[in-house]
Amino acid sequence: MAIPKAEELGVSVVREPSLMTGAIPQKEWMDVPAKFMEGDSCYPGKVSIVEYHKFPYPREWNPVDDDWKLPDDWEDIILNGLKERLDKFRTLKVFMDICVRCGACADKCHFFLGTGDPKNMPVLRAELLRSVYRNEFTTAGKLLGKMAGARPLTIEVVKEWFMYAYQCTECRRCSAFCPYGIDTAEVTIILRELLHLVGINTNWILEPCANSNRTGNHMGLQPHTYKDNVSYLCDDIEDITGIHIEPTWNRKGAEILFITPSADVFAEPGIYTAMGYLLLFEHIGLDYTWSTYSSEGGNFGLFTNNEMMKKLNGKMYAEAKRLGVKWILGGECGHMWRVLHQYMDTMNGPADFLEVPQSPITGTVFDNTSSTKMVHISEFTADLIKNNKLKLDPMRNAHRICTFHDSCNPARAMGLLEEPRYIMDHVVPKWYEMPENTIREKTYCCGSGTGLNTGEIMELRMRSGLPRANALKHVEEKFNVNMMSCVCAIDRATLTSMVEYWNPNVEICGISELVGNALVMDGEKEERESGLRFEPLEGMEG
Amino acid sequence: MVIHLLGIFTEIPWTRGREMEKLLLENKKVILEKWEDSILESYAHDTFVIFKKQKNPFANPVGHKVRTGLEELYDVLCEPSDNEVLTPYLEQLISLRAVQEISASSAVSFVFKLKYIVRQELTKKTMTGSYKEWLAFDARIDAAALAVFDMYMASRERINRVRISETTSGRGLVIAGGCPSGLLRHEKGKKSKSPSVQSG
Repeated sequence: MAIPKAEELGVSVVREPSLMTGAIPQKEWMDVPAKFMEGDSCYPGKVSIVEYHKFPYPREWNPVDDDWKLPDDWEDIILNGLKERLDKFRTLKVFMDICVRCGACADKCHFFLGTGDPKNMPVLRAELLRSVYRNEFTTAGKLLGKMAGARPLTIEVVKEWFMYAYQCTECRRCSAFCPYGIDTAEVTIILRELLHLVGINTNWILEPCANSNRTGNHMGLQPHTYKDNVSYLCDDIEDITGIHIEPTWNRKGAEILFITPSADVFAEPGIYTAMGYLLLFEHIGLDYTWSTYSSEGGNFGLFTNNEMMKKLNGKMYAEAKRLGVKWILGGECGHMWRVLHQYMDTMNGPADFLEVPQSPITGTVFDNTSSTKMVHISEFTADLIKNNKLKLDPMRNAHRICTFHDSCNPARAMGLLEEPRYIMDHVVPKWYEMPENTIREKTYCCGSGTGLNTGEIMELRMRSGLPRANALKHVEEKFNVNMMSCVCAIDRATLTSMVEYWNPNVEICGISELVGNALVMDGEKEERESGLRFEPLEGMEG
Repeated sequence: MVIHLLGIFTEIPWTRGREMEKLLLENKKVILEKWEDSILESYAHDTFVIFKKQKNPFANPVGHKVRTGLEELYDVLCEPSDNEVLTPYLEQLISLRAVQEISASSAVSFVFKLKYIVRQELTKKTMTGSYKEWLAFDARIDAAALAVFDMYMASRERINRVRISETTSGRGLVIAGGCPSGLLRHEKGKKSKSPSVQSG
């Protein structure tokens, strides 16, 4: 590292505003190119994975390099792709035209709040695409150019798209504040689709998609491995509760097919959530089956393109049809529910071969799911509690001082706000809400959704997770909160990393883990000594 | 972590009742304002406006952490005390600086900026104290900068531990595309709920 010369000190030794002049670099956003450094973007897709998908232009490339090795006609490909999508998706056309740049969304994005980068203001992130749209598809843009907010598509613009389309988790917090209801997440979706057309992609998204295609889940696990791991969880349940559980697999004629993110079966702390599901279903004697083929609730197609999303969503319904179940019960996942509630019906629905879900225990008909035929585990559990079908002892969670994080997609994309809270009220002695502007439909994202949960951008993830961590800090200091529950598998993985950095005294769990802890099972051990993590219950520490 | 400013530069004591201490307390508000601006101005103008104006800590975590962290450090600097001081807000600010795309020198440079700001402000107030008072105050800032650098390094160590723990706990596998044969090898050894394997 070079030692600065005397004249350079006049500018700044630390590349910040000069101590002597106070000068700050001021440029229009269009004149500030995206500059890539190691650690600020995800690794590109591996050649073998891109080839597997039959996606265009598989090659070795690195965002840090000047030459991204794009095809010669990249410009035509992208502009034709944009035109095709403007014709195909009415929403995109509307979102390109109606923004009045009121600024309501500007300070609502966790990426903006954590990085301070103006291009992470949702309005400006969308403007990255709008400016090109104006230049190519509007008269004002064609005539007036920059004066009308238009700019030509250049290689720098493409690089900028890559940077900021992958600094958005499609959490849709900004949309909740937009008076016009512009869904900036869909702008990000289109940006990513356009980039895929010229071979710009990330491995962290494409490889799980490939694995889901091949074996049914993100990790590429084959049926026996998947089944074995659930049986390990059953062994642990038996050690803790004395209850022996033998779930069924790929069972034709079961009443219900249960689908959850594969992370619940393999990674801490999701496995404790899965143990909660297993205990709950045993407790009520549910006639259900797991599937080793539809062994993934997550759908990284949502982060890739609409065709991939449709395909991965379709396998869940294909498996439900094959097994002949009546309806589908879904575990604690985030974006699976966005795909279900916002896209499934027009992609693969309505699922007429299934029945409108009815709880076999309470008789409740979930007519809110009459088209998708898929019920959220929290809806299902809350209904069981409401009808007094569960024996619960909340004091078994007395060693936890909880708060609840509304996972973005269940909260904003399906309105799942009350059910998890109702469950919390019944399974823990007391819990605390985080500040009003950080929960429910205004919830802050974990900062690592949409396939950004990767180690190479860890610092970026900590910046984007800051708004959530900051709100958590408040209840941690005020109420000694030591556990944050949520209903999303990516949350469970990424918030665990986030709290290790920002809130080391707090742990992360799924709501179903708290349910599993609280359930009083018939025939269980006389005295339950530990929770599902083998942690001692209150009073059992000695 | 704690800050213990006395004891590093013991030959230049900072004692109670000096003119400078009085002026620092009297001018706390304006000095803190300038100090805060010196950090926030490194952001683009639009960002600066939002980070400066939004007072709700949950709608503006960066602005909030800058404000509370600087005030905590300022109070420690002004207070003549032999005690170690817990500075949780300052640590949060440093944790933020440690994950930003800035160099280590840039992350801790704000501490030194206070020298410049204090000189500007107290000169306006016709500070008449001896050069020894200036030296003593400068020594405290230097000591604080060293403590802040320790905090920065602790944050960097922590982020590296997070990266390792994400890989070894299996959380990184959630969507990493683990290798099935690797998992099988792992399973042969012992029962495991969170296998640690290379992706791909």
